[in-house]
Amino acid sequence: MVETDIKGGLVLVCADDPGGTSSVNEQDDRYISVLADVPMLEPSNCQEMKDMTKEAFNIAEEIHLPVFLRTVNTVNLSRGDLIFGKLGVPRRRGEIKGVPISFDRTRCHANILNKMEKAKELSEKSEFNRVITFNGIKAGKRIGVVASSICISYAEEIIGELGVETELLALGFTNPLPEKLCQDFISRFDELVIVEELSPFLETQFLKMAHEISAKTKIWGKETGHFPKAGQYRLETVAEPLAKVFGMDNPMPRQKGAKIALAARSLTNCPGCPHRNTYYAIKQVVPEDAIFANDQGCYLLGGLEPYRMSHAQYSMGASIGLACGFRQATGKPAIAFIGDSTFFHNGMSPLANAVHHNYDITVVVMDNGATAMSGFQLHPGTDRDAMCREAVPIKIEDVVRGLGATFVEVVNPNKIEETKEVFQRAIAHKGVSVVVSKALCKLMETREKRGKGLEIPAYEIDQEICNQCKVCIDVYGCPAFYEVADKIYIDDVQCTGCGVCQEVCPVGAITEKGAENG
Amino acid sequence: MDRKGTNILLAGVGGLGVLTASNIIGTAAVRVGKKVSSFEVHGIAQRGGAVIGTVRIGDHNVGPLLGDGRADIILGFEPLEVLRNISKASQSTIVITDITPIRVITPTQFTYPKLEDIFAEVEERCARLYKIDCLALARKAGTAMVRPSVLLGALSEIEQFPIGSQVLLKTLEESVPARYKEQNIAAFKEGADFIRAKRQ
Repeated sequence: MVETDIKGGLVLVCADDPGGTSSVNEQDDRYISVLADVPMLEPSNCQEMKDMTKEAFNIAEEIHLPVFLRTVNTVNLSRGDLIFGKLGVPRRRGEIKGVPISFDRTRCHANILNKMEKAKELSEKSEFNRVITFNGIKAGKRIGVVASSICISYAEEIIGELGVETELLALGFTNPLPEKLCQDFISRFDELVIVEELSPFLETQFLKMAHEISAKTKIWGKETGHFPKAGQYRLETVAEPLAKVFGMDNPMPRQKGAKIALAARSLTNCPGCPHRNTYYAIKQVVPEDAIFANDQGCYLLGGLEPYRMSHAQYSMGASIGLACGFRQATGKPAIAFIGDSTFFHNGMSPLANAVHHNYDITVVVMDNGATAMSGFQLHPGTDRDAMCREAVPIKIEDVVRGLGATFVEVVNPNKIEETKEVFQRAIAHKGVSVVVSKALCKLMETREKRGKGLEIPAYEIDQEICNQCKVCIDVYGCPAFYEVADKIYIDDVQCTGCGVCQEVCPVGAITEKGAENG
Repeated sequence: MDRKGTNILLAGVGGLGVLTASNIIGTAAVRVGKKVSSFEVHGIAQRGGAVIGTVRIGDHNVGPLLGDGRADIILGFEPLEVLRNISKASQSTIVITDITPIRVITPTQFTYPKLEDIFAEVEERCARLYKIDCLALARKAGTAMVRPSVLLGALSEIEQFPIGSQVLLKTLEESVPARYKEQNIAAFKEGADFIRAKRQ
């Protein structure tokens, strides 16, 4: 794409996840912009997110390169007031001109480097690279601060609390860096503090730029041990080293937590979630030495207590390929879990490969009709398309049969006994077996029921019958159950009225209370 | 409003309405012309996990996160979660919390602390603690589902809260489904009445 002389605007958005709250790693994707030779913008708040998106398209159209819009989780998960500008007039149709394939890679490469020189000029004069001045207590030395992305707001707040006189070079156009602006900034200070999350991306370039102008400026950052390279930054992460460099007291020392010991709340599927029922059923019948490959979605929570059914989970769609490998390497039963949207995203090609090579694996497609984890986005299995127009839903079982799988069963996981029976046969089957475990996401179902004014049944435990075996809590793990003084109860606020626990309770102590709304 | 503005921390468990409430507060603040910076935990953390939201309201742009000891108001949707975030409180923080615990299912060996112990420690670390039985008040208002509105009503009566209660109520009305509008308004009023009664 970079080598194609793109006329229209192409903007690639990439969200990094320092702290890894929703990802499998803390990878710093700023380096991709350097690797691919594309300009990069980094918004530090909601307003910039909007403004930079527009600017990114302008840059892309001006220099005919894709532009990388790189954000971090804290920016993505923030909301704020926003000032809108005027809408431009969209061009209705694109145009593809015949571009002869060039095998002259050197010429292509040189062309990209020329474009990046133009990008550097844009970076030098970009309003997203600016110096913010703070008035206050003068330090003995001239100390400046450099920050990018969300760290700009942290640095601003802490400098404000320190009340020192300084300047903050806030960088929003970070590849290529505005070399003249940066070197001018470096030359005006005895010491610089670089504030950035993850890798020392800016710091390394500032060390190089300082070297080029033979500046004596001392640069404090990650390489000097002032800031951590791992983990999500908080205000406190920035407060301590900044105060240290300015020779001030830390304005925001970490406060002690609670005296009472608090357990972290383990994540779990929602009360009434069909994924729990799939895991519960399969756990009853699966051989003890089975290996589980999991994927990206709500069902990944089956990897946690009490099911612990995930030996590996990487990127979307990886589970099926992993299961094939696990089976080949160990000879043990291998089971892949994958959701409906993930299946459409990237599960079909590894399944075709598994069928073609006749791998002896079981694939469980957890079809809850929703991309529930990330906000109910539509996918080819839903009856609406991405523009919310009516669409023909593609059935996963049809796709699977089309890919040549011969053992294909569809079950309703909310019927535990039937589901167990199907899994028993699927695991015993030689070759690829596919079970589509199909029941609507409970959040969607409850929303639908409430919308139609339908009654949601409530359940209670007959304390005369309950023998406190705790299968409902320890084995089934539905969060609607709780224990007080050795008795088990159902929390009627948490309970979604699915009633599946009636099938789970070994002594039949769970009964319907009669309908109640809310 | 001074440079620091007002910092509100919302603490709870996924599914209790933390995100909805922080959006309503943020929207109301924008309506009265304030700058708002808000943060929320999304996605996987919502599924039964601890959830926080922040809303920072003022006249200047600030980052969305709250520093330790910097919360002016803590809105608790669950008692244990208030205590979990107690490092954000200072001796001038007002805490309003729902009293109904959400049990910790896993790890199973963890026993939920006694409520009075939780409240004692919270009280020690803040200026004032209001404990509200939101569940009972929500049921009185029509349905347990409108629990967050009880807390919003209570919040509207707190002196440090910089938005008029009518604006907050109006924003709430426009943010909830039409069929639950009346119950939400009733719940909001229950919460507001509760704080007014306590203050006297």
